[in-house]
Amino acid sequence: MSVLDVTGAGGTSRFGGVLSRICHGPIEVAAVLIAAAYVILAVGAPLLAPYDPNVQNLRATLASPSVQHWLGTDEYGRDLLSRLLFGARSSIMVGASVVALSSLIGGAFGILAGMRRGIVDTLVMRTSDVTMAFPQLVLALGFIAALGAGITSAIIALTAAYAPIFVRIVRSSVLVIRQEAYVEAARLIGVSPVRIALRHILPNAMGPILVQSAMTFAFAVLAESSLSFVGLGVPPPTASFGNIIAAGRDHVGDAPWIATSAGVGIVLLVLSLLLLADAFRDAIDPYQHRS
Amino acid sequence: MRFRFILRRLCWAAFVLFGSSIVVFLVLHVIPGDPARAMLGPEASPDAVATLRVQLGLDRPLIYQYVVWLSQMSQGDMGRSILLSQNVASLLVERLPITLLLSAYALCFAVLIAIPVSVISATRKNTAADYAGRFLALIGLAMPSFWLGIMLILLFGVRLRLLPVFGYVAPSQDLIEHVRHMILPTVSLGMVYSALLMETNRNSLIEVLQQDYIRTARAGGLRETLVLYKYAMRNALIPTVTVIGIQVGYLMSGALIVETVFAIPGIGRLLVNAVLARDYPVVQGTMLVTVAIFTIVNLIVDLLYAVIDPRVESA
Repeated sequence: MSVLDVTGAGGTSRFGGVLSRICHGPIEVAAVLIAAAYVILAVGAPLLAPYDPNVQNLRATLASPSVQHWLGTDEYGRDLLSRLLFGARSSIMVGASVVALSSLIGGAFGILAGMRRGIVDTLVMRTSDVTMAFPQLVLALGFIAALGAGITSAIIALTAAYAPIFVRIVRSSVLVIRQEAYVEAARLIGVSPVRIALRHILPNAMGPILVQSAMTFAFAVLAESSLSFVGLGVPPPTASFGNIIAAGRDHVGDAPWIATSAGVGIVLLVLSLLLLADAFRDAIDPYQHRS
Repeated sequence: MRFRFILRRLCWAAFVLFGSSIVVFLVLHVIPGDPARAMLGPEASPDAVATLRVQLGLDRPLIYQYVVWLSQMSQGDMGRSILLSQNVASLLVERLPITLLLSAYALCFAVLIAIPVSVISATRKNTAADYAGRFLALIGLAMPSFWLGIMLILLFGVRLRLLPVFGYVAPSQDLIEHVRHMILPTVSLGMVYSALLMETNRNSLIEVLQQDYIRTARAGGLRETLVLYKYAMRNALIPTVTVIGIQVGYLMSGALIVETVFAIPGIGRLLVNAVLARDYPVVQGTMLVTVAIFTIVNLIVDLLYAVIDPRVESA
């Protein structure tokens, strides 16, 4: 049974049980709702956006919020609400890709290090220590210098920066779980190491991985917006929170709504993800929450 | 015992620096395609590319290149900037103090905000003051420092016209103008950092305040301020000191972007411009110096940690 499995039964009741453990207070419910709303808005952006985010209207440049343009327009007369919806899409796409790749790569190396120990463990852990010696954004900038600016480079760079954290977390979970009697029993009856890792160890290490995933998602969104802000992430005219703020900086005096609304977009998304990480942590360790 | 501990930490720092040098070297040598071509652009003539390849030593075996590069780096020879036609080492010597100064100001600002707020939060746990403090910390964590910078520019520069919003003035040039120019960047960078410290110190203080020796001190009739600041804070600050060390990297990452917002000529702006222009010698030099600072600060924190809590040495 995994750490988040409360009923032991499959299907809806299991999902409902997990959800009720995560949503144990009004703040957690709000976080789940905001994060879900962002995902819906990002996925449905092409349907929900009132205008094409890249279509310019030079007769309506820097227009303040109105009935036609709820959040106003930017310096090229592009509808800001539409650009923010697509910006959320970019941020969520980068964040989700970074989480998926870094948890997959980091998780695989973490399991390998924890299961094999010895030279493999030393090699994996020392490499991850060295990688973690770099401030994450500096390491990401190094990768972008090598690969060139763009969404793919940003995803690879941020994956390289965040994967070592997953290596450490998964390895330490594996070291604890591999001592458990049921793992020992599986080993004694001849279950292969790969099956032990995937069937018995990984499901029980999912709790810390989930918490770290939510946090990595939040920090990847912040890092992506920073990279896009300095012109090294999502390239214009594709909308991203970071490049919308960069464009808004030049008009902060005459059109403050551009930078303000994009910033609020990032803060709400990151806030909901951080609260979600807290909620996951509480769901895994309710004692710590109560204390 | 203490000597062995210091030696162990020194060896560890040396290993991390050595490993980092390999990462910095490899990152820019495993580029798909030719680094010389990438630096000069697709329009460059084959002759120019070949000359740069020889100049950068790219025609030699990879291990040879690394050994030569490392020995040059250790002698302070970091090559020449392609973009600025200047020695990378002198560029860093010129700009590093500005980034360090900004980071130091931000750190002081963060500690000044975080410690009192976390003490109020911890001593009034689950009250309105605690919730307000924690909410402030969460918002601080969720806010990109560059966006906060722009909002501060909007308020204090554009609307109130109280503070300058761009550029840098050296303290030796005009101290008052230096302070005025550094206020907004310091707040933008320090606010996010203070949020991290606030949460750590609050949790740690709550834990310490529940311990037996604190109960004994209170039962003995000691004043609450004495219990709090003399007995509880010393132990509560141990995790906070660690977080300060670990998050120096976070501070430096933030400084890279904040410098761009406020047009401060530190290594952050230098690195961002170098990445944009694919000026590899500058990228490598800046990455290596940053990781060296980060490692040294962590080494100092480790040693400090052992002074604050002697149990660490035996761990």
